[in-house]
Amino acid sequence: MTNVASPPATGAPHVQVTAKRRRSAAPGSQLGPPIALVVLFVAFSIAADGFLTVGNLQTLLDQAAIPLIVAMGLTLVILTGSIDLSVEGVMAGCCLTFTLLGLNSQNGLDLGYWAIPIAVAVGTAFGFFAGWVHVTFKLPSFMVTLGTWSIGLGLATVLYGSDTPKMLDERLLGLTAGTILGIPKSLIIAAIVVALAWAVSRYTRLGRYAYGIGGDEAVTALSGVNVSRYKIGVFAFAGTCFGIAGVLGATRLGVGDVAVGQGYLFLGISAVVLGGTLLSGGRGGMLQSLIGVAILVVLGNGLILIGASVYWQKGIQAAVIIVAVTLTGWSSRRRLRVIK
Amino acid sequence: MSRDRQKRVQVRKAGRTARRPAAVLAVLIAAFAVFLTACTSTGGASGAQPAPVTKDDLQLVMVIRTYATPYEAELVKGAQAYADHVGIPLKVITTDGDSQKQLSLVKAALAGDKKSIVSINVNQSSDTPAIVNAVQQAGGYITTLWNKHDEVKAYDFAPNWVAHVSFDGRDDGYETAKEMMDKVGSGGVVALQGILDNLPASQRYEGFQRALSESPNVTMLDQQVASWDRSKSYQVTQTLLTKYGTQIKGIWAADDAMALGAITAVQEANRPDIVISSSSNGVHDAFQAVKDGTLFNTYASDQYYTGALGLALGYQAATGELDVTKMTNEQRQFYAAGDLVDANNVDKYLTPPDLAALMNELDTDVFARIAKPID
Repeated sequence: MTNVASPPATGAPHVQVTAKRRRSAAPGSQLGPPIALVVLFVAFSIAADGFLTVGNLQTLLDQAAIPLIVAMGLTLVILTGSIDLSVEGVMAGCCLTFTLLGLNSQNGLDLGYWAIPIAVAVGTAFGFFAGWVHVTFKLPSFMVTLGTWSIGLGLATVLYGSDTPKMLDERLLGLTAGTILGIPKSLIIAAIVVALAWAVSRYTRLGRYAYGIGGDEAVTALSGVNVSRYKIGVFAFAGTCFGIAGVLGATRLGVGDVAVGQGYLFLGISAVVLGGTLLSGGRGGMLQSLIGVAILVVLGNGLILIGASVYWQKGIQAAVIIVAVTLTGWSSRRRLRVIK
Repeated sequence: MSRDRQKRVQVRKAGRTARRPAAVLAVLIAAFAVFLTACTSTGGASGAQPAPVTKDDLQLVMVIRTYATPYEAELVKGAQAYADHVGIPLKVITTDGDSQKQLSLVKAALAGDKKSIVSINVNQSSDTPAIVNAVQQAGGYITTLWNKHDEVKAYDFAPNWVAHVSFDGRDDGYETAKEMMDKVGSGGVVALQGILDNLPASQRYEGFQRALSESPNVTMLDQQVASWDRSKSYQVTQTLLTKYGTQIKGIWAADDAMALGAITAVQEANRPDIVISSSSNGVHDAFQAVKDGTLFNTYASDQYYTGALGLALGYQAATGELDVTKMTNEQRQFYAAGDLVDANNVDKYLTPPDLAALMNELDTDVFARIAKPID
């Protein structure tokens, strides 16, 4: 009864307690990923010529930008215990929307900087749609977002027309290329997204309830939280991140490319899990995912520099991911009795 | 006891009522199955002995992976031009690179009462026999493009498989890489490969290696896989540029998309001295890049021609203009001729080809561009 009378008051503290307890439950597991990152970094610095150079560090930071933004969106969804597979489709849809709204080779539109918020809003809309379908029709999130992936790709394909649309607006093209004080502009954008995502997960209801929903959805709902609303919010947040990633991909290549998101789904989910966010939800966070992304980007870059055979690279990468995920979850393997 | 019997009766009744809808469903399914077999058996019967037909009985089907690559978009433009030329509607099917989807969509397209003329950019080599069999059973005609296993020979199959057409990646790879290496003179080059277990990818790389063996002053610094992907190629090139720096004098990519990704990375690194070469396809953006001087060369496989040719072979077989049983083995499966494109001849490729002339060529001699048999 009291729950019904004042939902937020009873909801928030409960959630906070759950999240705190869960996070402090396994201190060892939080150290695993950073140690793995340091080990990889040191190993490549010694073994690979040219790894520890300013040029390569800039390349690393630049290559981390899109995966970071994608991982932020995925982290919040995974924290609630759901999954969002729509990354590649939403990125493609937003990439093409952005390209075609700015000055381009395909139509007469020239919205300048306005193309950015509109394209990102398309991503938000995709996320909102996925979340709404998920909670309204009680469909598994993987199914809904698999569909959203295809819808995004479909939109991108329709917009693509019969020839690659090229961006012609110099302001938009130069937006993410180059560096400021030695730091790639793309990474600065990613850093802002990471900071905002961290703040959302830490200080807003959306973020706090995401932990609560992932920890125990039924309890969170019983304590008066409108779970459906926050779930939709979480998917909309993820869609927004994918939209930003799509726009960044477009400014990078200077064209609307339907394949712009290719590979980011696997990379993103691997990074989130590698960082220590549980696929079952409730535990993890943005900064953990940051470490996860860093590990994968360093690994991909280092394997090329070290001269690993192209036939082996994928296999080695996957093996390292599996080992790292095993180590990350080592301390909690007793508590997790059911694994699906 | 009596209560027991009552219960049993109830249970039996409940079972009967529950079974009734199931029985209705079963009858419906059976009826549908009979209907389906009736449909397919008529298709099968006409498939046994292909006879010439009129235009109204035909439909043209072009199967591609996606509209959203310049290569396939141009392929469809060529196919559409041929469809307009013969006055038969064209149905385009996209498979998203999914072999299962490819087979089921082709079967769905074949199910109508019109005879299908199929031209397909085969997803994987192993898909070809199943697709061909499906078309044969429906009594249609098919021309396959690019992918099939070597031991599967088009001329061993029924006339419904009119021909298999491809471009020899060994030639594209060799000619583009050799010209690039001659331009570089001496120093290091890197290669960007397509998906490794893909026939054109391995053929083109074979050609690249032959060029390398004939250029003693050029060394290969590295080779990486960029999976036909522009973004991936951009990232890989970025990394290679930081690793080898000024040692890199040339970059060879197995297709235009990867070459275009490499160009972006090279421009960002401010290295206009690097000679970039693309092994294949000659899409419009690549020709434009050659014209702009950012791409050194590419190899035109003329998508408009390929798209139209795939349908022309099937159409001529269906109407009896072409007697498939009298075609030579070389005509049943061949590499078509391509053209090395660089700054010297790019101008004629910048505008779309003369479609009327192309249709005329296909009407008079559909085999005019055979380069050599596929062995």
